Amino acid sequence: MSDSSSHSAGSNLKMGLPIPNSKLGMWLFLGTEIMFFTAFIGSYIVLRMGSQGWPSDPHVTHISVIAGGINTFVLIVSSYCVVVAHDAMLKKHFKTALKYLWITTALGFLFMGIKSYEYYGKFTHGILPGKIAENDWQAAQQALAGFDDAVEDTGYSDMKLELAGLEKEVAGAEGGAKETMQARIDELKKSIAAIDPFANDVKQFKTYVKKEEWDFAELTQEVSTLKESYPEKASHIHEPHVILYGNIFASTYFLMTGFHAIHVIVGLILFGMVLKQGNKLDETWTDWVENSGLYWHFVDLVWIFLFPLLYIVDFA
Amino acid sequence: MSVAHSVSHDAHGDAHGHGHEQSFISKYVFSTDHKVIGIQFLVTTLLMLMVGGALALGVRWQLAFPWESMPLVGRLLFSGEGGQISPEFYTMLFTMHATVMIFLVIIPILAGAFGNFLIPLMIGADDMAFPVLNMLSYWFMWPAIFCFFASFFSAGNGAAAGWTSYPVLSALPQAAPASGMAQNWWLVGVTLVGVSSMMGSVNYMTTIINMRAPGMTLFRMPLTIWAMFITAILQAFALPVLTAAGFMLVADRLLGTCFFIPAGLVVNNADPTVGGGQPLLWQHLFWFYSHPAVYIMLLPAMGMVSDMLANAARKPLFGYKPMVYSMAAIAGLGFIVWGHHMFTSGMNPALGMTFMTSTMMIALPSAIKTFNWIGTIWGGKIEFNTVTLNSVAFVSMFVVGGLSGIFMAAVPVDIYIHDTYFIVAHFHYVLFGATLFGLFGAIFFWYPKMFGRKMNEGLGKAHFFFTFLGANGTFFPMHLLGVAGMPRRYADPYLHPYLEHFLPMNQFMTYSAILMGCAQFLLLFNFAYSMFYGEKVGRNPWKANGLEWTAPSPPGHGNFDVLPVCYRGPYEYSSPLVEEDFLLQTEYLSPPDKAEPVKEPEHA
Amino acid sequence: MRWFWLTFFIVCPIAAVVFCVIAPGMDWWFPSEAGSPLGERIDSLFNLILYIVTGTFIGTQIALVYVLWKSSKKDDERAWFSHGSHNLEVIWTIVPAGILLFIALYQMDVWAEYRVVSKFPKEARKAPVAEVMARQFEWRIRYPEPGRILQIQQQPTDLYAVNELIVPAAKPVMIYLKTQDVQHSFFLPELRVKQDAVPGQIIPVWFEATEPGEYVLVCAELCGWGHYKMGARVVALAEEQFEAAMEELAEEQSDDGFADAGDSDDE
Ligand code: HEA
Ligand code: HEA
Ligand code: CUA
Ligand SMILES: [Cu+2]
Repeated sequence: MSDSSSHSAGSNLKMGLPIPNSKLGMWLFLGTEIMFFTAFIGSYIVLRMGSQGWPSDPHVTHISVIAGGINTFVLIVSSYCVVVAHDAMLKKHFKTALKYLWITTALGFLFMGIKSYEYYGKFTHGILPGKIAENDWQAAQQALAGFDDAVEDTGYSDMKLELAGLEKEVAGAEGGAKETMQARIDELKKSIAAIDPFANDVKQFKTYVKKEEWDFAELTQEVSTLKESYPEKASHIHEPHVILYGNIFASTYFLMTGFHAIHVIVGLILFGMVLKQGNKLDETWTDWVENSGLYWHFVDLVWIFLFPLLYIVDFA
Repeated sequence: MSVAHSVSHDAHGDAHGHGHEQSFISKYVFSTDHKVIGIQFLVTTLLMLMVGGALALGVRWQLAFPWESMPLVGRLLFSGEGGQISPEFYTMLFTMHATVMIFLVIIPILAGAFGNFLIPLMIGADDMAFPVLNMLSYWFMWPAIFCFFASFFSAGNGAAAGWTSYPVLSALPQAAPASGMAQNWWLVGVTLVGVSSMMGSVNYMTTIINMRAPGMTLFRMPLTIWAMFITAILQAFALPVLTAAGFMLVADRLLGTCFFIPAGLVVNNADPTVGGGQPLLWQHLFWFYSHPAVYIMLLPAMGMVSDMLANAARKPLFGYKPMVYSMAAIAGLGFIVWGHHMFTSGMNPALGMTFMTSTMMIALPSAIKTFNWIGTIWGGKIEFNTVTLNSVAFVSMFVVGGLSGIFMAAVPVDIYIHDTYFIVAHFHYVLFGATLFGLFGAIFFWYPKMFGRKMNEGLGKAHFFFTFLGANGTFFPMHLLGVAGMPRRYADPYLHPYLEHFLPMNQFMTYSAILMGCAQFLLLFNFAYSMFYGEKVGRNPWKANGLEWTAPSPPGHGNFDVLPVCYRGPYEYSSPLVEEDFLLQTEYLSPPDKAEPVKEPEHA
Repeated sequence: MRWFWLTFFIVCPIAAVVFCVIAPGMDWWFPSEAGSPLGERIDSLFNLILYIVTGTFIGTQIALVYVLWKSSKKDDERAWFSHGSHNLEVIWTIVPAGILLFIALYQMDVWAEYRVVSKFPKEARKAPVAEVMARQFEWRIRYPEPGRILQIQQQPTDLYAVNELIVPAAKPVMIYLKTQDVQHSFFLPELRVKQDAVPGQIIPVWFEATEPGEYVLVCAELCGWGHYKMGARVVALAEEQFEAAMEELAEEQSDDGFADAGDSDDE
């Protein structure tokens, strides 16, 4: 962007608009960005309208209107700060400009922080595209996979393998080697025995799940008993829950907020370049601040569309 | 890099002002000079044309001699199958053929090569608005090329869902077992060419809006510039949609999302899919880009042909403003006709009618342009050189391709001919027939400006002759195959009795394609040979009017000796005001020739 | 050279036209007469466009060669200094616009009849004959038991077949088209029917085979490596024969001695 200014220097001779190339370029670029997000927003609307249903209960989706609302406010304030900063740049009050750019950046980070908090809430509840059960069978499969993993995490089958190997070898071994082997075997046996009940219960659960017919309430019961019996091993496993149309919901949510977040990060980098100048900041950066400010307003504007669409509107 | 090398040799003497020495790398490889970048694009795309053509010949081989092992290259490429093309491989061949031709040949050669080379020269600027961005737009091509090749060669498998990549076939790895990672590579490649074009288009728009020479008002711009401008707009506003869709498809493949995957599909005996997506959404997003894209692949050629025809006929362009307006109309309407690719897809029938009407209407500006081209030649003074021949072929072939579009635009007829060879005929006529002939003409026309030498006329005419015959021999019979109901993308159509008797015709087409392929060597040879042995020419070998002809051939860094000032439009050929039959845009006549007064720019 | 190129530019279009004129005689044309009433109308629309377009083609090519001929023989005369003609622009905007609008409007009926469900023939809509499910790379057909109506859900009494769809001739029939995996397209060249099968959708399609006989069914949408071999057939039978064939199928499938011709693990 910086090399453009030299070319527009002679612009009083050239035809064209009375604005620097860099600014015109930024506006045109934002035009392409608008189309980019239009594609996402359009897809979201099409998918949501075309879907038989959509999870909208905040307890299920872990969508927090409050968090989103605060974030909207944060971005709007930060947008305002950029304007003030640019104004200061024009007046050559570089100290003030820096101060306001710091505030903008801080608010950008705050936005990302709140966003991470929201994402974290979804991650911990397994609200991730492709990971959500949409019917009882899938819920059961997921619970089973969770328990299986829990058993694996203890190293159960590895230990069993090792044990089997050692038991074969120990017969042929002699002396000290034999002794250490024997010690290891005892150790292994003990550990395995400690896990055995859990592993057996999981195995039982597997046969239960494989059954032709079961009832969801009963399944939930089974899972929580299993969890309660082995709190230290299985407490992290989710109760089976079913979110009908949850995957497409999660897909669109993460797509749109994710790409918006990437744009926020890019904006923060643009501001970071200015902040890095510190006291050396001078008027050569004015266009830069203006253009990244334009970009930042765009990022803000996108969020102003995303917030109601994702958090509030009920299409039904 | 021998190409760029020879530029510099002559350029050196003319270079002025910017005296500082540059290293070899920054001058020829990572150059920010729009001319070097343009020539880099040109050479790269011509090589890619050979690659794409070779893939096409693979396709043609299978269609003429199904399951017979390929001579020469066959055993080398797929020794496993004894040199035979397997059905999977056939699918990959045409997918990559189309991908290479569209994303690595036609789009970058039009916008990248000619857009770059011509825009600053024709509007009288010393370079693009953002030279570094410009350089990046070239260098982003290479990762894209790498991705496409990685896709084609990843463990002998390739992207195999057609260049349209319709999900669910392209979204579920198990649906096309052979395509595995390749489809991901392919999508990343498409995204990267997208980034490259995007940088180009923002650059072009800014340059054209803001960097015109004094006196170069919008309606004094050559049609080439108008075409590049409109193309850049199309690209800037259509491409992001494809990029967005590409990200969604990659996410479906890798991250478990389900934008395009509905629930309950049982693909290849895997577990039923979970999801709630819509496969048709992809088609809408894809064609929202790819329909405008077909005009991206045509408009610049239209612009260049207009300039070349006016020059060849020594006559002002017939109907300059209607030409400009019709290009704008093509671009505008281009955004609302995408649904004509989806008439049989099961979308709402009411939409079908809307899209049919808008598609019919988009033929109107094309009609206006066609008639104006004929009008331009009418009463001219023409000489049959290579440029004329290729430009006339452009018009003639565009009419054929455009008229077959009318059949397809009619929904009921499209029910029958959709996805048959009729479509394949249509788009090869517009893409090969129109665009490539326009490009061949443009290469001959602006070559002297690029390298200071003319290309060989005899070789040029021979190339034209064989290419024209070969192209028509290959693509014309496709109309008949289409009417006979031969579906496209068939590795072995003769399996179906109603198509058996078309084998000889397909063999004829393949021979024609080989002829056409061989003819391209004439072009490459001519291109390389003339760089060193071509006839040396001065600044204005064609006695043309545009600003670019006032610069040295080849132009040095910074393009012009003095800042050009523009006094009139670019098409004042055979003006009664002057002796010669051309009148440069920069020539100041007193009294001024136009009713509207031209202000002497206040030289600073 | 001048005459060489002029001849070249006129001979090529003539060759193209000749090629098209002899094509039907060489069996390079439609695979057969349209076998359905709607197909006949599609053909006549095709021919209408063909005439208009051929006229335009010949006209523009002749005009092109004519202006080339005229303007290539000037020796010392100057070219005509003209920037265009407003009247001509108006004429060649309005005339094609009229033609194109006419073509567009003239097509609407056939399209509506083919695709708008409420315009489907009533008797076909009431009793769909079968569900056609495409999958890589075959066509699976599900019929209702004779005397019953086809349900969207599979019924235990349903009858199954692969790659052969039997329909009654000389009356409109409707099928439900769906796909088990990727996108396919149901294409009957002789009947001029084509409809994509879209994952996640059930699409009603109607057609009518005027004459009893066998018709080709192919897949017209890329669906993987085996796309080209996804051929099958539609057998149109006279009404009574159709019923007999259905009875026979029912017999066959209730007979324990036979494995289901269709697919049994679907149930
Ligand atoms: C440069 C590329 C290019 C251009 C310019 C065009 C131009 C047009 N295209 Fe084409 N098209 C493609 C490239 C292009 N197309 C490609 C690549 C595909 C296939 C993609 C795929 O599936 O893989 C395709 C597919 C395609 C389809 C989808 C078919 C299908 O899949 O079923 C349709 C349907 O309407 C269509 C229509 C048209 C029309 C109406 C025009 C019009 O713009 C043409 C207008 C021009 C004229 C009409 C000629 C000049 C006019 C006159 C001489 C005046 C008088 C005329 C009359 C009065 C009729 N095209
Ligand atoms: C700009 C676009 C463009 C161009 C120029 C071409 C050029 C050609 N195309 Fe292309 N084609 C497409 C775009 C293009 N095509 C598209 C979009 C599709 C649809 C794909 C899909 O369905 O997804 C398609 C599909 C397609 C098919 C249909 C495949 C199918 O549906 O099964 C066929 C079949 O004949 C074909 C043939 C050709 C031929 C013979 C050429 C010839 O004109 C090529 C001539 C050039 C050469 C032959 C190069 C010469 C080089 C050599 C001879 C060098 C030899 C090699 C080395 C030494 C390395 N093409
Ligand atoms: Cu099924 Cu193609
Ligand atoms: Cu199109």
